[in-house]
Amino acid sequence: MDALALLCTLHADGPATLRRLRAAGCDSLAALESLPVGQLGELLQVTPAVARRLEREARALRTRLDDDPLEHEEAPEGLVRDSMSGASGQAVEDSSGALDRIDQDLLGRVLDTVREVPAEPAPGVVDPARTPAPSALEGAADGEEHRRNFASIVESSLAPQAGVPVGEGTPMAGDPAPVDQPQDPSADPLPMAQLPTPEPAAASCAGLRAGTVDGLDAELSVDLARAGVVDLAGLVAADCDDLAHRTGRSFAQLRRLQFLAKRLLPREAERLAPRAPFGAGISRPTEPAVELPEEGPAVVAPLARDAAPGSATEPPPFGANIVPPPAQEEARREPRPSDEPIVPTRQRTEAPGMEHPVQVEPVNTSPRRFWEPRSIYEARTASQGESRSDPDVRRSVDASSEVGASALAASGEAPPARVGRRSNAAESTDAAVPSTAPSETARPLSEEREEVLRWNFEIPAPGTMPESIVPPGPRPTDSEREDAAGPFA
Amino acid sequence: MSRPRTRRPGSKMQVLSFVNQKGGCGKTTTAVNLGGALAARGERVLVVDLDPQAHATLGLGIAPEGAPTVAEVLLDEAFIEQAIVTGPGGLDVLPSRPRLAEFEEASERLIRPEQRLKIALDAVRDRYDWVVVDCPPRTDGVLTANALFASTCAMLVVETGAFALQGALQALKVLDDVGENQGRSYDVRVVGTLFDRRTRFARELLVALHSRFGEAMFDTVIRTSVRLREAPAHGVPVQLLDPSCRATADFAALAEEVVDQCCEDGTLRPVLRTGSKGEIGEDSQPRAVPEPKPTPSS
Repeated sequence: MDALALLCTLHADGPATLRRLRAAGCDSLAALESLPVGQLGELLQVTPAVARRLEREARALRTRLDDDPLEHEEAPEGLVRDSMSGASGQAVEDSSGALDRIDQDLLGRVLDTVREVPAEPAPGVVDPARTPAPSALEGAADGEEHRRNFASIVESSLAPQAGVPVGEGTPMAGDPAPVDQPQDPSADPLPMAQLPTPEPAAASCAGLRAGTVDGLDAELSVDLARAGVVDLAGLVAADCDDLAHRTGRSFAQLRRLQFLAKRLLPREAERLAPRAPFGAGISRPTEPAVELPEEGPAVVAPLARDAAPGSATEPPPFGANIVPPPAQEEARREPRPSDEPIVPTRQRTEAPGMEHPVQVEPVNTSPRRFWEPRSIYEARTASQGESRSDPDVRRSVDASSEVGASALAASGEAPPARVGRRSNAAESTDAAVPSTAPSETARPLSEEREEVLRWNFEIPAPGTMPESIVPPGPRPTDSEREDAAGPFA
Repeated sequence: MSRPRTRRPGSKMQVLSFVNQKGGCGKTTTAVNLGGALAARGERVLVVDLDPQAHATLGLGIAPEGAPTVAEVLLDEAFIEQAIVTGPGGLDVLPSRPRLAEFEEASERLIRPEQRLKIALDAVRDRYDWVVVDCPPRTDGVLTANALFASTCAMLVVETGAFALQGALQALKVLDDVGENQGRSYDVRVVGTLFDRRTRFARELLVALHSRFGEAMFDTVIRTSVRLREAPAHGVPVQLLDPSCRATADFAALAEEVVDQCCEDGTLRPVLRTGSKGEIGEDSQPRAVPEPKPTPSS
């Protein structure tokens, strides 16, 4: 099944669309993608939006069908190894002992680089020309012992092939001296023309190995080494055309490598630069010199809290300086007066001209009271000549509603309860039944809330009730009341 | 009926067997309507109903009462010329009836029963360009073995629904077994049917079928259509019921694709062939593949 046919079946009119596309010379998804939207729309006689969507689906389908089904786990071992070595930058050292000739060549170069390092640089003097190549040996700067250990490891790894030349690319013109020959410039001085150019030694020592530059694999590094390019600086300075002729590689590939090496060179030089001791670059504030007297006790400046030396002052109480959090701060506020009604007020977010509902003010002086317990009580006690300090003593509370009738109400300290509410019935009938009274909309808002249930929940004690209210006869006992309630109580 | 293209003179008769062991995947519908589409192109087509349910026969409006059918032909009770009847749309039909199920039992007493249909079709080889065989939904039976033995290409009908891919792969294994028993290999082509592109499941399944079968799958996928359900009720191919409907266009495109992929000798270009070890390999048995037709650009 053709991918274009699949696309037409999935997202278009199937064979009709396919026939039109093929008649117009569009035989593949790529050709379909290259068509302009307008032209595709005219070809298929669809709107540009549909044509655009078809192209988008074509791109998605092509991407989906072109996906490489081969996972990394299924890839050949060599491919995985190459890709991994290119990514991690550890081409040779991590291979599990299976050193091929290329690896041996690279190890030989590493070994040469190690042996070029002098025994001990002069203290305090950093000679960049003698800095080892950390790219090959990161632990080389740690000391001569580490360097010697690594050299022994590398030599032991090369031991089985001791009789075999290290590699075809090893004895090149630009390569350093062989391993076995002690490098002594004074014994066999090179002519000036053959001396390496005076460039940053760190960069010149950065050898070319697989993964150093993106796209540089082991095979290419060997080819470059055969052509005389063994480090980044050499690669940067090389003529790509000439290098292409020597290595057989394409000019574009070498040019790209050179570009990447040029970009990598200052970074490499910076990385290879000798590191200063820890904290050497940090500027510390200079402390004033304290001149201590040679003799006598040292004078210690008193602390700020010790105002008077020698006086035993009490330390401040624990937590005195602690600023309480807002919740605790609110808890410390004075309680709200009990007689003040709690009316939820909204945050003022409206315009200043808006009028808020008027709060219901507590009315302490009610003109009319349903009960006048105090006067009744006082009149009764006055007539009987009794004086009671606590009127609740004689009161029997036999219903839960009477619990609220506290002594405060009886003493007249508490105002009668007032509930501000509106009559829903009035609202519903206002529109239907015209009334002579002024409508609620015409009345001020404060007046709406002024409706008061004329009930202060004061129930006088039975003994203090007036004669006209108290029914004649004995009062029923509690057991009688329960019987009167019936079985449903 | 116009004749846009006819096959080359002297080309061999092509026998296409529509197989799948799954029922309801569109074997009969595809066989009948592809035959109608080929007939509409001017091809000489014979539709062979090898299903004892006789749905293709009924779908073409044929009721063989007392007349010889394919059952009598396979049982050597009648000649094939006596059993072939002319159906609608220029189709010739070798009808079936439930008695065909007896052939399964009778085949135990016959010598090489799987070659009966091929022997019968050889008698009409010069009369037809295409023979379309509608197989029963049982791939390992003797009827399907007859169809496969006589066919030049096995058309695996795959419904783009649930278990389609699994059923197709299972059918391929059965085809491979049958081919191994017969000592042959078959060209296999895949036709997608009952495709509804409104459902994401069908779209994904079609992509999976494309990825699995590649070139062995026809470009044309038969979409669902109400006309395909109505046509058997009228006893005609869909081309006669509604020449402008979507199903007619699909089968016309499929017929064009089938004809275009014919080689010089008249057979379909081999893409996928059954192997000998239960696997399907691309052209496991090499055969002479002609060069592709030169395009105007080349």
